[in-house]
Amino acid sequence: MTARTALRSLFRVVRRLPAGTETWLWAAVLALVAAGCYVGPFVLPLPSPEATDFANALAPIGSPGHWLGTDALGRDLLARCLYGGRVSLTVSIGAVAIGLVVGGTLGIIAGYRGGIVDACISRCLDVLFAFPGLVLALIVASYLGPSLRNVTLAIGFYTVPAYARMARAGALRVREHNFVRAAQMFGGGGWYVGARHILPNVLFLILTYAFVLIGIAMVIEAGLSFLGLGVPPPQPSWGQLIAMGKQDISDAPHIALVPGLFLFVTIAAFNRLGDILQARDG
Amino acid sequence: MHAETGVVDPLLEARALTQVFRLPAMLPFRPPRVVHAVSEVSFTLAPGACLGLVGETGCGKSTLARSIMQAPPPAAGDVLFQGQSLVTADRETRRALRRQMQYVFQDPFASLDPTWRIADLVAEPLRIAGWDGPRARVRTEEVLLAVGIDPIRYGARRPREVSGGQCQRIAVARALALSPALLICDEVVSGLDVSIQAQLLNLFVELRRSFGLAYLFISHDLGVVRHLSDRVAVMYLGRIVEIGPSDALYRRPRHPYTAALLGAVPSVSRGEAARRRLRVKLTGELPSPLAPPSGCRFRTRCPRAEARCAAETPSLLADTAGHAVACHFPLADAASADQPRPTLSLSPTRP
Amino acid sequence: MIAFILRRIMQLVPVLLGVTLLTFLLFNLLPGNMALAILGPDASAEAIAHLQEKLGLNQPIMLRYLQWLGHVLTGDFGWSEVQAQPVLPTILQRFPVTLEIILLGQLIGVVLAVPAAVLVALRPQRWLDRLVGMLAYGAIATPRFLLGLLLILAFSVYLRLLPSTGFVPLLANVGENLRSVTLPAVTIGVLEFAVYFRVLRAEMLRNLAEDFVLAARAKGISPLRAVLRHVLRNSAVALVTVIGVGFGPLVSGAVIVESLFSLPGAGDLLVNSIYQRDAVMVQGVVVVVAATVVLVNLLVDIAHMWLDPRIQLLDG
Repeated sequence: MTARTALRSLFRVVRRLPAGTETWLWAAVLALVAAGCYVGPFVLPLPSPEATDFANALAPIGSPGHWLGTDALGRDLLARCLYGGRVSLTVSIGAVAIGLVVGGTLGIIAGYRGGIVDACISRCLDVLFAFPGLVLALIVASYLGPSLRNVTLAIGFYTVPAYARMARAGALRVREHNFVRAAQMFGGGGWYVGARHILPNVLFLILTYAFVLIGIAMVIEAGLSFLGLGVPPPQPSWGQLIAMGKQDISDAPHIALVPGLFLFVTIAAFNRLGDILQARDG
Repeated sequence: MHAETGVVDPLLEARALTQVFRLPAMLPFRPPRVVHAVSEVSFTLAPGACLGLVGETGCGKSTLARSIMQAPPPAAGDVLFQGQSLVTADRETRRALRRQMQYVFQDPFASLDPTWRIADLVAEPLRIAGWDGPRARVRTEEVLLAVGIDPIRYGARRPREVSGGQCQRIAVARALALSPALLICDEVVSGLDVSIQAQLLNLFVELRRSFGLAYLFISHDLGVVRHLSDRVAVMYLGRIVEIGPSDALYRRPRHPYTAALLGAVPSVSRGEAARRRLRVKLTGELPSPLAPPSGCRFRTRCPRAEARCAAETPSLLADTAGHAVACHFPLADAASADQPRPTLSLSPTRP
Repeated sequence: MIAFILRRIMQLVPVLLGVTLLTFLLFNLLPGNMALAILGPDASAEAIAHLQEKLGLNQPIMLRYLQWLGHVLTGDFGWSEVQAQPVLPTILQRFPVTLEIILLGQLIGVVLAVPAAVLVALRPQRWLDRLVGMLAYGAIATPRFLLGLLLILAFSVYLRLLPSTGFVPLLANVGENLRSVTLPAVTIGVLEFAVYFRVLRAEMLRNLAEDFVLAARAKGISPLRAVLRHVLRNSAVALVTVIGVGFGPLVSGAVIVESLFSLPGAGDLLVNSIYQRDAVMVQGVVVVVAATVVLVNLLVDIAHMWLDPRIQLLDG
């Protein structure tokens, strides 16, 4: 039931997107990237991202058979970028989803209940906030052992407090409204009011934040991968590709720059959409 | 209703109702600051009657209304509804009694959840009370029609899609859903256009006639209150300073504060202006409820104040017509020769 | 004022304790036997047992936490078996490098952002505003390592102006030190510029609309002076807050940058310690970093309150 409310809020947020050209531009960019990464490998005639081809190593952009060139081992760069995108997108969106569900719930409980519960939750959040995002993700990921699931969880440690803080602020505002008082006067209990009144209104406030947060999560994931502590090979990820391209930066800069471009454009799209939505709200 | 005397038991009775708020102290190790929002307020309300409650912003009207609803419960005093004490009742009784009293808020948009549909909003009290879907739907349509909103056209809409006046009607419909005996209206017409105000007031009159509703009608607007109320109570800084039949209160106010308030009301009728010979001019500013003046709280602004007013708190004394005033030097009117005599005792153990 | 500071410091203590607790638990509660991790998968059972005994890993966890905390409070962060170094002195030796690039980066950010914001405040909504805005936007969307790589490409590879790795300590040779630190600091600085610029611009535009500016202009002050003297000073509060609050995320940035440019800072130490599974060292670095962030936030709060007296009244 709550999931349905959440979906409804999401649709309402998306429907409110201004129909300006810029919005459509960035939405199209995102759609293109997502389609390319998740669907592309099935549709396009691409070689496997792990297929080495030493004869054609370090091929530049536009080479026959390898539209975006190859890396030092002759692996097709376009294929690796698309598969890498899957990882980056999945991890980031997954981490933000965790943040929204866990952090959102914690924040709403803290904001609505107040008192001791709020104090406890807020202190815990303060502790988590003391760790810089990447550092936290680093240590959690490395000690859980690198895998897609663990990296997502690790970045979740960052998104949960971020969202909890937002949700708490939202709940503090919403609970002062008279419709909440009215529901309480009708005899609605704490959980009822929290789920049916506070939650939908707070969700509305914080969903726009998801976009910007996904952008941040992507940067963290890329950073983790760049340091070699993210999702392990053979699964490629954009950060990983850039790290590997670093060695050949003088001879074949495109190996690092192509995935870099993918990363940049995707993050910019999320950031921009998030900003537009927030400007609309405020 | 007493068979012998024919006197009707009051629907609502407030006894020495007191409400305070505690604010944290400014500096550590100091005692917390206390806001005396409502101090020893007592009144009765008969079934089907309408009591208007007027006063300046900040005099405690809304706080009083909320204490009656036990949201939050008063710090001291008692509230009796249909003869039963709300303060000492157990949760079940309190919940059952509270369903008979409904509250309508001031800002119509703020009191309706913007993410809900109108039909669901009106049905909410029913669903919380355990009504099943079909029964609730039927009742929802009934009450929406009663307030003049077409359930078919508006049922699926959201509050943002209707006007302020319609929203307020929807809020009233929601309040009527459980067939309450008492409706507490807190500044429900403030902030609406005058024409919409008039429509809404007429609706209240009609609802009263159809359903026998009693009202506690709170407003800072004296003109609005007069239209609807049988009796009016005037509040100042947490106390009732005057209470009585609305005609008597408006024509012959006995408390200087009431007279001052009325003096500020533009009136078209020349007869009244002539009768209002004593014009009371207010001086000074509203004192803070953190530190209300001793004795009579109005004395700092009252042009008739004397030493006795600071030393002794005046109690509400009524004349034979049920018009009570809390003042040591009430405005005498040439027409009334009645002497005030004590009627209302303020102790909770009233026989 | 003093009461405020004292109260804030008191709020700090449970947070700092929580930080140490969380760090300790993270490392000592998670799956993966630490001794096994240190010695590697081919270690014999006796060696593992021996190391466990030596490191005291068999005791109950809260006891170990309290022991460790006790040591930490006296300044003893322990000894790293893996890297054969004492923990705290190593961290402290490396910290100045990290601080240097962070502070230089913030300085670059401020030096770029303030004039840009002033220019934009004087001429809002023109092509300059949009251009700088887009640049700032692009900078924010670029992960630091990517930006760093681009800078390396431009200045080290193509132009051969600046070194891409290596660090010369400040005390050894100031000139060389600055050369080795330029690219890393700029990498950090560009992103900081973008953030500062956006905040400063928003603040200044908001202040420009206020009455006191109109009054100043009515007195005949030129637009430039009005902006500089009145608007900038009021916008400084927001800027200081952003700078202070940005310190935490900057540590993350420093980790990346140090790794990319091979600088011997605390971030590099952290990453290497993680590679080598040196739990003791990682623990120490994380605690130091988190504690620093908490303290910096405290300073920011105090500075904020000092600069903007209105906050005092609101604080509950």
